[in-house]
Amino acid sequence: MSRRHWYWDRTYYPPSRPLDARGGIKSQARRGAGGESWWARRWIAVLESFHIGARLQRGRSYARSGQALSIDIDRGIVRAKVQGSRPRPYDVTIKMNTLTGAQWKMLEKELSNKPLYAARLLAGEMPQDIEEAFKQAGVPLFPATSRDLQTECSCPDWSNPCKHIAAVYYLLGEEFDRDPFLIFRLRGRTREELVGGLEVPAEAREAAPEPALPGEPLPDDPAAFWQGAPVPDDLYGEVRIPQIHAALPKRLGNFPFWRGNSSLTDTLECVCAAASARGLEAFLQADGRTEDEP
Amino acid sequence: MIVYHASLCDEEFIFWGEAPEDRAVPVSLRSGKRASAGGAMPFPYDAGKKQLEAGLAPFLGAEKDSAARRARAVMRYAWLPTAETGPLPSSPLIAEAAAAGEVVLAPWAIAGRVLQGREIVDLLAACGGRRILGPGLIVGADLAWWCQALRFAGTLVARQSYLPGVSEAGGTYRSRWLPVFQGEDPDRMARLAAAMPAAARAVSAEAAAPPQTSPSALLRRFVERMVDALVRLGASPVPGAPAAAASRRGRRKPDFDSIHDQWLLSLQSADPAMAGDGGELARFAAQVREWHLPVSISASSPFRLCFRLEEPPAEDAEREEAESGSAGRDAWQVRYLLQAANDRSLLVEARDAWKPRKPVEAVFRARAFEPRQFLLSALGQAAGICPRIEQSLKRPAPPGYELDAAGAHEFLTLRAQTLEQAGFGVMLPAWWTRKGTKLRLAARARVKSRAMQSAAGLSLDAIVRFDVELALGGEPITMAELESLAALKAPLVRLRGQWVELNAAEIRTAIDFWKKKAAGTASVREIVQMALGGDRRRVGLIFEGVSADGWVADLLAHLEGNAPFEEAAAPAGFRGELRPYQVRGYSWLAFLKQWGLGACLADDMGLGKTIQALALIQRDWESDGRQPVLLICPTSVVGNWQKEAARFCPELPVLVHHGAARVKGEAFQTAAARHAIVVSSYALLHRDLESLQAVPWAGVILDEAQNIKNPETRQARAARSLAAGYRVAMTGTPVENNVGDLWSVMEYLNPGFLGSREEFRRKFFVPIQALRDADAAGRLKRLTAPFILRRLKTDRSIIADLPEKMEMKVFCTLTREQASLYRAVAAAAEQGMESAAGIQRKGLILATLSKLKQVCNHPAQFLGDNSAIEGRSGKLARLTEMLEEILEGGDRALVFSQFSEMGGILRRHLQETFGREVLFLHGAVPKKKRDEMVERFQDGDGPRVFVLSLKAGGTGLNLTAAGHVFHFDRWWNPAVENQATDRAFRIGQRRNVQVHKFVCAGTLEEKIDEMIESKKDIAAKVVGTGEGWLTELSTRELKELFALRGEAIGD
Repeated sequence: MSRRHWYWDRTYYPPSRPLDARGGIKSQARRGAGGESWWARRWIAVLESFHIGARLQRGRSYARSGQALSIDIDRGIVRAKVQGSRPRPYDVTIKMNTLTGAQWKMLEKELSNKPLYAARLLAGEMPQDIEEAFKQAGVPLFPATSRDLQTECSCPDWSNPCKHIAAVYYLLGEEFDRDPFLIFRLRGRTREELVGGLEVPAEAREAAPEPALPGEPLPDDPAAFWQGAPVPDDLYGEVRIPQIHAALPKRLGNFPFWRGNSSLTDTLECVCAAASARGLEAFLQADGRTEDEP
Repeated sequence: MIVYHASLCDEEFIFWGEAPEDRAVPVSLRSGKRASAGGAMPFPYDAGKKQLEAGLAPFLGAEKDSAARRARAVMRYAWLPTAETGPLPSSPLIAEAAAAGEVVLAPWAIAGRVLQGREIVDLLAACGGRRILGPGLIVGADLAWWCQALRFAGTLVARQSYLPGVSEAGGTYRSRWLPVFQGEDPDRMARLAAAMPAAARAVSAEAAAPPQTSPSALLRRFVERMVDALVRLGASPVPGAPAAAASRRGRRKPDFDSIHDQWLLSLQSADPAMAGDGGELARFAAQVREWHLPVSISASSPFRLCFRLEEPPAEDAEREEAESGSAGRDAWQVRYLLQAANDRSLLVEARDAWKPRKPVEAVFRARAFEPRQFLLSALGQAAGICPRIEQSLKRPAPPGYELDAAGAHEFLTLRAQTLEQAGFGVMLPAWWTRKGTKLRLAARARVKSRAMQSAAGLSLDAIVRFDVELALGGEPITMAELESLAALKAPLVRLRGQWVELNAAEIRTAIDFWKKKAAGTASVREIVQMALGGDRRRVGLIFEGVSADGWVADLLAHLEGNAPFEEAAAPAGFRGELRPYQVRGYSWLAFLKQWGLGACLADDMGLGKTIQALALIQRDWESDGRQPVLLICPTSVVGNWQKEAARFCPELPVLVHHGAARVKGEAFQTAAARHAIVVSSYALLHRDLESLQAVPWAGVILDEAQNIKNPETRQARAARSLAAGYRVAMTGTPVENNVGDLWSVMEYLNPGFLGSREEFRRKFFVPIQALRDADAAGRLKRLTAPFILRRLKTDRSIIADLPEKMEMKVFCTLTREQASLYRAVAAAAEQGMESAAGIQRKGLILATLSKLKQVCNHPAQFLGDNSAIEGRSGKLARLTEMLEEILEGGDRALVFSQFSEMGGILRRHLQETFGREVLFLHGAVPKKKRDEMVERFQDGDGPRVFVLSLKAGGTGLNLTAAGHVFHFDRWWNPAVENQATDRAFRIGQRRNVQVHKFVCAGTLEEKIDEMIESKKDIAAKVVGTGEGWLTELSTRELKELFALRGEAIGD
């Protein structure tokens, strides 16, 4: 047994086994790895063009099994921690060149010609032909060659990009899927800067969404006190169970860097479907509209 | 008597109650001294802890954990309108409201019960639509309002208008299902809040200051809680599951791989608390809010994006139609609009919003709204749902987009729903409904049958052939027209000036059907069902109707009420006069019976359902084989049926299958075979089912058929299981108005006609109750109308047939207890009469008369022991049933008794049973109060039942609001009774008044009644004004009078 351990630990070509990482970020892609959208695929294609062979596969399976423990994205830089075969997670950084102010100016001019760009971006999607706008402005959106990216990892593997970097790269692709502004952030512009300070109502951001309603003293007239007004019978409109479940969370897209063991969307679909029936039942019962005597 | 209330106080849902004052509470506590600054007085009408638990137990189950029970029983302060005399109760059932004076809000200490999420749902579901929870347990207006608030939360959950989230309070993080109020929800919430009774927010934890929370804020808090509770409810694992228990007690660090796992599990469990590192939880909560952002922005926006589908201008389409009959090309429009959230009628077209001019800009600025950003982001989100929106965004400032007929059809059938669900507004043309265009190509089955010679030999089981025709709004479409429509290959065409949705597959099927000259076959029963809009799918087509000729056409015309029935002559042996509408009803019953179809006779009370049914039975007995009919009714009317049968159909042998002495098994079969009518009760329908099933019944008639409205009950199952030549249901309550009850009655009458219970729920119950689907309601009405006959006494055609005053005797049965008391009193009197004479004898006779009457009324009245009321008097049971029907129909009633003790018992019982105030006028009521009562009764919104003692209320009052007068007991003097009746029936009174005189069958009540009836003229002379004439009878006659006939006893 000990010989075996020795063999695994010392070999120069180590298909080392990573330690189990609990609660890591898990790829949510249903098939393959990386994103489903064209821009996420575009991002992954860059990685694949580096011809790093088996490390690509390993990176993908790292992404799926949740080896990445955290990912932070900032202007021009991504920092991540990935659980490898050693107890201490490896530090991964990916740097990308940010655009200059002049480059951004040119780009913004291009973008403002078509409302679609802003609309799609605001809706969390990358316009199909946005690269065209970048090309017109003479600046690249995606990295084109390995030189556009500077990657580093604290693992002992000499090859770069290693499988840890590849794993982070895959997860980034998925994350871009959800929020295209992240690519812009990597290129040096936040969402607000990009769409010209879209005004987000302050209360939508606050922790307690409950609006501060003014108080109202109780009436002392006995009739008004004990008896309310009649509730109109048609108050509630059509109460229909939707055909597509969990449409609202789906409109929001994937949860950022999901680390749960089960899929959020699948769980929500199940919960929503079951809850709909219960909600309808409560709606009918609380009016005495039921076929059975309670 | 308790009136239950509920109030949301901070985060606690407090259940509390009012009860009539307990003598244990010292009077001094409710005297003028109001609460001092420090504390509050105990509430004099407080229901108390025990009563609250008892009231809740049936709905929530008893709390076994006594520590938990103690924790939930709390003391709180209710801020109530308070006069000099003390707090003003919510209802006169609790106490008479004090005379006017200065009224202020003051805190009163009450016992409350804290309810948790699931308990609130269970309780409110139980209270839904009900005035009482049980005898004497009344649902207060505030509690009823909370039911509505729960309904609102139910709509949000049903529509899935919520998101999983996290809340933070005092450093504790909890997973939460957060409602999202979109579309019309904020508006609905405001209307609901405006209807809130103040009592729903009148409880506080401190006596220092009254609660101030506004109705809107309180409603919002409640809805948030209920949405969370409802979504959690079914998802929660069994309480006490290891993971949940461990995290609640914090003994062990919860074992989760990540905070996401913890969140997801917590969202599905009963315990929402999330444990872990505070910093991590705070970051996570912020991340969740960030994730919610697009939805929270659009939900809080002052405008929402709307899509309006506009059809091409009529001229264009007509020209096109004229030219080639082709479907319109790019002439349809989807227009983008902004709709103000607080004013649905304020619509701004996107065209004017991209770069708004002055007036429009002012509108936006007033709402601090930036239209361009909003349009971009909203259209961007919608573009994911509808690719054409994305297309439109390639040009600057798009006003909408154009589409062709196919595109319009796709928008109507698919996109519109998805957009709506995602929270966008959608406006569609009026000719479009959820189910397609209002006008549709409809397949009709064409049935040919021979002309009706006589109904003999024809039956619903006959098989007929039918072929298919297609029609548009009743006009048939030719083969050539159909083929040219099919050639268009457009799903939406303008035909004869109106938009019509075409289903290519359906048209293909119809064309094939025609080309093959094929024909379908079906039984006439199926054709009837098809014609009435029931089961409509055959040979690959959905049929909208049937056109027929020959006898099938005649049958359908009769059923649908398009052709009058042949009026059947009254049977020879029938000893009564049928009024014209009764002849129609009886003929209708005979018509349906002849076709083996079940009928529900639902005439108003007093129109003579009994007599119509008896005429039907008599007719069959005379014409068909002599088979018995089974008549099932409530115990309280068994005697009445027997009397009515004897009166109208004296030739018919009637067997009462009731009471302990009834025969069973083969003996019953033999006995039944020898009778025309077997009368039995609902209780026995189930208990003696085996005996009843063994008899081949000519027919089964259910009186008061609302007894089987719940199809799962044993009596409903038993009723369905009886084999019979025909089935009739009788009821005075409007069954057709209660969709839920309809299935059970129809399933008994015509099995399978409304489909299985599940199908019925899907096709009718949910669409009508939850979707307000007028079409489904219309179809259900059409499908059931041929089998339900309901005439109101206010119908113009009926009024003409009715006398202004109708007097009816209501024969009641004694309970076993009443019968034994009766016998004991009679036996004692007989003994006494042997020895007494003169004045003493006279006194004894009058006393006995009075005692026997009391026994007939109620044992509690006779015993004078203040004992229980429920279930001990046949008369009271019958009165309660009849009043229930009357109140349900919105009418008012007077109830006379000559005993004021009985009046008190009646009042108490009726108040507790109906949860409504009942007036009671007796000799001790002062003049002023009396006038006030009369005024309230006559007033539109006042109490609707008025109990009067004959002496105090018999003269001088004007009570014309009543449509029914009950004489609970009899004063053996027609003149006195009539005078009382005339309180309701005055000159100038336009309505018909029904007078119900209660008589206990087999008792002296009936015998004296017979004596008066048989010698009315003598009675008028002899009787005078009192009951003294009875004392002149001989001892033998008196013995006869007092003896109890056997048939009188019920269960």
